[in-house]
Amino acid sequence: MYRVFAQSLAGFGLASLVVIAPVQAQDYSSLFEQRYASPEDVGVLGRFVSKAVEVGQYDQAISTLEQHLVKYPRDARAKYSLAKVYANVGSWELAARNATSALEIGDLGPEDTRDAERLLARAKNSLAGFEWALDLTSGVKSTWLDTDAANSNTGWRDRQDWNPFIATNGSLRIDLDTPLDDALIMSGGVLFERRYEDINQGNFNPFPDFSPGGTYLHNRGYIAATLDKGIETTALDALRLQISVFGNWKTLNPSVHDAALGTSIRLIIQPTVDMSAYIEGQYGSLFPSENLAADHRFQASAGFTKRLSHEHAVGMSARFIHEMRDDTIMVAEQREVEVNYAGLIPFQPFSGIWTQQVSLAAGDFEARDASSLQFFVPIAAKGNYVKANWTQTFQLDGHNSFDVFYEFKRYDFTSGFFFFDNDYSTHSVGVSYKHTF
Amino acid sequence: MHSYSQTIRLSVLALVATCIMQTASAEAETVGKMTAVQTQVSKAGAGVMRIGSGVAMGDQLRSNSTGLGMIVFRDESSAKLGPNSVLTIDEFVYGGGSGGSFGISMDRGVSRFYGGQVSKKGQMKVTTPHVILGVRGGVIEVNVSKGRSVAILRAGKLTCTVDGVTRVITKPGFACVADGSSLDLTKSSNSFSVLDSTARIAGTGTPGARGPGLGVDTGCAGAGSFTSGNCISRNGQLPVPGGGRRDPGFSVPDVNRTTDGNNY
Repeated sequence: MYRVFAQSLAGFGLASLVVIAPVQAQDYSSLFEQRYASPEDVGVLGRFVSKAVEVGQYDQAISTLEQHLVKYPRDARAKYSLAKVYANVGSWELAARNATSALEIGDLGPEDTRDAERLLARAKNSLAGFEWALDLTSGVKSTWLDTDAANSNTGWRDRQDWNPFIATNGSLRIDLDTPLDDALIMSGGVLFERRYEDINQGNFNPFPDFSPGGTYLHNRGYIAATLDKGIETTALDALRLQISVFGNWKTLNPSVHDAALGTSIRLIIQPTVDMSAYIEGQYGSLFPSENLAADHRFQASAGFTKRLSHEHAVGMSARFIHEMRDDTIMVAEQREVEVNYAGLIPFQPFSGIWTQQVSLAAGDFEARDASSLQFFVPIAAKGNYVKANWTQTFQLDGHNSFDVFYEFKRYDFTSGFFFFDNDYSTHSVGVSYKHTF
Repeated sequence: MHSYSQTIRLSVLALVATCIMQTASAEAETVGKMTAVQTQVSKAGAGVMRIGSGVAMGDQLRSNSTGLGMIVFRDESSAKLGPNSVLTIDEFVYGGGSGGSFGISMDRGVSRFYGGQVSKKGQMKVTTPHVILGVRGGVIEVNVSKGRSVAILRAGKLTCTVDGVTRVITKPGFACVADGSSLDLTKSSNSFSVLDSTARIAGTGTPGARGPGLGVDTGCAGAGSFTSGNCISRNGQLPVPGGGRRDPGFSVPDVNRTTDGNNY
């Protein structure tokens, strides 16, 4: 298994390096020098503003546009650009003021006018204390299953599946009007996916509603209310506490439904302008579940993201899940460590934002008596796994994006009841489209 | 004779060396320059400032009742000086790498400050007669008049310190108000719109130029980009690539992560 993990790591590393390499040469500093040397050269200012936005130095873009507006106070495009950059930093009052001014001057084209009006409406909502988001995603993935050896006990065999899916996520942020930007966030989402009842499509049938070879509509979702609270600190850039109550569910197969009501506490630590870390504890009561042996789920996780530059960020996280019955007997445990990379794709055509995310995870798991529906004796399984995911996101504009992804999973595990090794790999590729309203 | 000419040569060399050293010293002290100005901004002891006029440590800049000017510093930070304002450059240490410190004192008037590299990696301070302000990677506005100072956060993070007591603001639009003995945090009702370039040229009453249409509409300045996690910047944090996978423009807690790894 570790050889496979090492091979995956090497493959993704090489692929990432190939993609990363051309991005290294950036000329932000030299463009600043040009801005400094030629403060009245509109061409120089325009190139610097574009670059400053591209590398996330919004304060520089803002100051350059405002410098230009001292000389040309009725430049509507500059005012509209300024409004957009102020919106990126959450400065809705100045975003609204500049968008209004740009619209009043009246020199914007029809498309810019429509977009400026949308920005203005968004700014007004935010100033009234409400921000909302709603998106709809649909896509399809194809998974190739590669079993190490066909098993006579289960009839598992190599196969290829198609899994179309559709998902929606929404959130409403209610501003609590405090200096540390406290807010109440209501969020929820649901996903439906066509799945085979047994990924391995064997003839093994432990569940009453189970029909090997059939498909079912897998669904999962969540709803949550979160208090997002800033903690006053001068030692760090920012410290935030997120306290949530949530309900979530997912169908594991037509007979087994995993549902939880719970609470979580997450501490977000931002020590510098380019680093964010978190630590979280979560508890879920599984009493709404159907045919699930566990009654309680505890989860602990921690991780960080480090922004290396505007083009590259790396992160790491670790997670531990423990499930148990009311009598405290352990039902299942899982440990996982993940490393991840996110970065801009070197070429950014069509005025979009093209990014890629690579993650590598390894973990182990142990499950005893996972479902209350096993026949005769509990099914136990113990093993480890590696996962690798490579997703390319093509954000065409503020409302439309495509994902193209590849995922590899490798499971090595032993079933305690059947006394056989069930090792298999899956390769999935897929594409999805997301529209943000 | 020989000795006389040698003395002259040595004197000339010494004079040239002195001039070079003085020039180098003067250049080293220049920490920024005027990049935009309207009627009018002047420097104490040097008269009216023009675009390109240098600003050095210890310089005091004054604007008249219609004055508006932009100063850009070597660390990329900048200041927009509004009418009837007085600014003094107290401290500027920046080596091009991490850290550094930048201090400006503001005696009166209204100004907008934009953070540069020092504000992100070191310490940027604005001192008024009533409060010490710390700027972290962002934009603030400061007004000093009528015996009090008002500082409004527009982006990033702002700290306000009076008599050793420090308060923090991370929400744009909130302000600290200090009169030298007390410090209050409040939602600002001031707009300081005099700092916005209005449709008329300051001090002239004549319409300003429409300009060449300077703008940017790609990537994170595209339409609706403020809804993308790739583009948002809060708490002084710089935007992170890939941050838009789940966040819709503000942080949503992840309480739905599943064990099979699929998060759509």
